[in-house]
Amino acid sequence: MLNFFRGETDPSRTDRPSPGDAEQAWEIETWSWHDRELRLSGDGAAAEDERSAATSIDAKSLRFDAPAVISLAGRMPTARVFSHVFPESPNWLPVVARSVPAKPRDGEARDPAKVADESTAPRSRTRIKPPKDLIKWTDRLYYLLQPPLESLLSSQTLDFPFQPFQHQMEGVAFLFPRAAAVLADEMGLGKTMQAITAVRLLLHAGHIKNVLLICPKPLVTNWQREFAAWAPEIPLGIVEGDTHKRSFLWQQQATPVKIANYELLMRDQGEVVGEDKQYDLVILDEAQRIKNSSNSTAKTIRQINRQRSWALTGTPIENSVNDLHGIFEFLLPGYLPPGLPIEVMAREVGDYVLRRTKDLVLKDMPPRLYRDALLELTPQQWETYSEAEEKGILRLSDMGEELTIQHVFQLVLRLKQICNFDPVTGASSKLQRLEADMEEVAASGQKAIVFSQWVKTVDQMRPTLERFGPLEYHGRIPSKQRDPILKQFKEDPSKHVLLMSYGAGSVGLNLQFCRYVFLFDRWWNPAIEDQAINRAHRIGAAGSVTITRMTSERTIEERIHMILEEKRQLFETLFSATNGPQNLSLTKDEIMGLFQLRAGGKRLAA
Amino acid sequence: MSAGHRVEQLGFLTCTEFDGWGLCGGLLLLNTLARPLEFHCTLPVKVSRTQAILYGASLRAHVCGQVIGRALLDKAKTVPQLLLTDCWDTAQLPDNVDTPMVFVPPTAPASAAAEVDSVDLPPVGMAPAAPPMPWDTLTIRDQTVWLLAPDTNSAADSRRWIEAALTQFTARHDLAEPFDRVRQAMTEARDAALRAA
Repeated sequence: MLNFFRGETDPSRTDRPSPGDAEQAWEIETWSWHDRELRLSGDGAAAEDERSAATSIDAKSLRFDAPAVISLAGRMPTARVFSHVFPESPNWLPVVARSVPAKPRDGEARDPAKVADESTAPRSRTRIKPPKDLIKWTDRLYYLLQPPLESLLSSQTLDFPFQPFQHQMEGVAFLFPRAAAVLADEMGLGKTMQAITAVRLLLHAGHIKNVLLICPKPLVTNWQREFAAWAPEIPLGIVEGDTHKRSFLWQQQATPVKIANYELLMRDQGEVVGEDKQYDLVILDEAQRIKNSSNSTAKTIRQINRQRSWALTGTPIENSVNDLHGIFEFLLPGYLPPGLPIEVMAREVGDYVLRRTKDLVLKDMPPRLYRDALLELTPQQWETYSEAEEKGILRLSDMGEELTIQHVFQLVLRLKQICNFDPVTGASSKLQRLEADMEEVAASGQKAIVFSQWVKTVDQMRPTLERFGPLEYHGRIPSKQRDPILKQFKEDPSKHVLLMSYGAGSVGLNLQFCRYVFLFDRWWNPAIEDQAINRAHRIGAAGSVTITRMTSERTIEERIHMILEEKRQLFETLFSATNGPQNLSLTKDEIMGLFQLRAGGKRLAA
Repeated sequence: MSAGHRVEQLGFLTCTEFDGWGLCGGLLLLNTLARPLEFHCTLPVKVSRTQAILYGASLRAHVCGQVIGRALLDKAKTVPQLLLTDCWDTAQLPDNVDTPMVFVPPTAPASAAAEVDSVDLPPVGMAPAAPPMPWDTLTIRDQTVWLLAPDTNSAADSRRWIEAALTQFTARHDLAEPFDRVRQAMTEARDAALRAA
């Protein structure tokens, strides 16, 4: 190893050549290191003269110039973390062991292989989404990070009598996080079940403790039945009886769900409204009852202290899009002013309203088959009808300035009644047709519902239909007798026909075992007719439902039918945010126009 | 942890990359009923060009595992007894994290829920086709997961209780589903930040 020196030659490092070496200039060695050459050399000397060899060492510097250093930050930044810890939700009811698996719905075959493989089958995931009006991120996180509804229900071992449909799970997921919601599914899609399941989950999660459910009186027993089926562990308090009993029931804190009817609520305002009275959730069934925000029922209900407000209705716009204003006055007072353009209204209510139709969600649902029975009046009917109409129009014309919509309305009703039955002879082309159709219905072992606007018409039908075992369900039937009548209609094979009035039988009843519906006369509003039809055409329907709409040709009925048909599609218009007529029922001008058209000699196309 | 030990908390850890934002991580602690106990997520970690050059191929694993994973676990008030991730890069946790980890290979599409909510956030890292050593595999209800037993001396024991824990969890819940929740929460966080900006 050579040492390399810097500076002058160090004498102590002088090398001497060995004796005998030729006197010559010599080169000891040449080294190269990188691109620099190092050479150790001497100028030569005879060994014998023993002179020191004149050697010299050239030292070359190998040191690099100090490089300029550029420092790069290679260290990763630390990650800043946002944290949220969930409070454990206490369960107010003990978790019970799952005992009976959910049954399939009627008609659903259970494949044994599928049952065995259920645990490995892909599960549907219905996620609870936070509503848009929930602003705080931690509040939104609460819902975002909840497990899918199916897991939630499974974890809490909540049994169902039937496996819910997917749209029903989505409805529950819609209601669960919302403080204000309108579930406006078409009739028959299971609004009741969805509301009950959402209530059940909220109660189990400890989010709510006391619920007030308000429904029309005839539907109280229906809600009881549905709660017994879908949430049997939840104690119910049915507010009924005399004043003392009701007062006692209102004060019961142990029952998490109280059910009261609208009429009763008005009588018991003092028990429900007050600063010391607070509900975690108020549910209005058939919430179209409060569509008129100025009526006393709506005012009373709005005074109830509550955290959450849900409205259930199959007809969120029964007459006019402004009906929705009344419902929103209950949900979010002042949020939806009346008279908004329909597009604006659709946008504003979008996150609060969930509406599905059977056509959309139940692809496998049996179809509704409409039959428009355009019937000629019997000669007796026609004679009476023509006379009544001519005289009626003349009388209206003579009234001049005194003419009001009520006068016209009276004439319309009169003419419609003649279309049902001739008041003199009792002749009825509609009844003839109904009787003939009922022969077929009864012969095939099926059952039918017949709707009419008037109880008197029901009375007139009954003798002719006696052999089909008619049962009646209308305003004259006491409430306590109504459920047994429905039970008999369902179970007694000799009872083939149920005669109902629109008022009593249009909402909340489950008559899905019926395959035939007859609209003996037509209601003013297609939404009410749809409600009536959907008593039979709902989940669990055994097959297609045939709806026969009876209309007397060349009469006031036909003209009303024409107008109503043009409006039928409006029902969905609000949610598709397109322009449409603002009123579903006949307007004043339209009712007046019924006769103006006739009086002017114009005929509507058939 | 013995085979008879009952797992009470599972941690679902994942990372995702938002365009222009950087890498974000989320950790969701669930009980065995799949109910949320804790949620932690990071602000975006932006990687500079220099860091990208210096760390080279190991960059994502370093950021997701060593930086984000470490930070999230440090914040957890409850130590999860088992960590699951569907992001291969996140699986590269620091050596001093002794929580057993399971890699749940993501399926495509990520999930039905993700499709519904338009959460198009695939896991950041691509996993190798087969688990490298010392990863082992377990098949739970038709789903194969890769597991890393932290202590080779008790690897067999760990394998048994991990299998028991996952079998119990998957009896009612989907193993991949909680990752969707984490990603949706992170997406919400990003959207909230965008709105605020």
